[in-house]
Amino acid sequence: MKNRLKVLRAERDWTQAELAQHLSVSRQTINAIETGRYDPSLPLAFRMARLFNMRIEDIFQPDFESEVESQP
Amino acid sequence: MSIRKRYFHQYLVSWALFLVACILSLLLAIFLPLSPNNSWRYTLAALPMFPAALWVGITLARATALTLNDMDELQRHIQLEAFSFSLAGTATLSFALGWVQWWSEFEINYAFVPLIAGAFWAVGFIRARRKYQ
Repeated sequence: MKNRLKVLRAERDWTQAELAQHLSVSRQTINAIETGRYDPSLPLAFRMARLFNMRIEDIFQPDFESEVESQP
Repeated sequence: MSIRKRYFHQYLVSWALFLVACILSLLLAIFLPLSPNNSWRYTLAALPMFPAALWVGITLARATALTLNDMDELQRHIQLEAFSFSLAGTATLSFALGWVQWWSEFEINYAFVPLIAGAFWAVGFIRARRKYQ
């Protein structure tokens, strides 16, 4: 899953810790989502969408290339 | 006192009480009169262990559940991976040791099982944490 979290955060001039505070998660979670190592749960994705006043699909897009590569 | 510190405090108090029960049990086993008639000696010596083990079990389960509730979803995910790794590792190793014990002179004390589980949990935790860093 690809996401625009880093860009959206930078636009607001927030640090990872500040964004984590807004979403009530740890900074490690924000870092893992930004780097694509972790896909957030639906409730957290909704909280992000509400915080940035966007739709979930405007923040997260399916990464078809890596999905095809990871399939057996 | 923060929530994490409070749970950690609960862990420490539980283990300290358990340790006291272990020492009490050992002292009873050593100092109770030794004679052929007192077959109750070791049963009596083991008595403090049962309530202590029950207490530690309940406290640890409660503190662990509260600690997990206090974590965010990634931290919970990391813990799940660490616990799964620990469960798989401990089950495999204890089965292998039990198997060897069945047909050989080799013996290992049950007291090592939590240590083995703890060691596997630590490895699993470090591994999972690195994965998401």
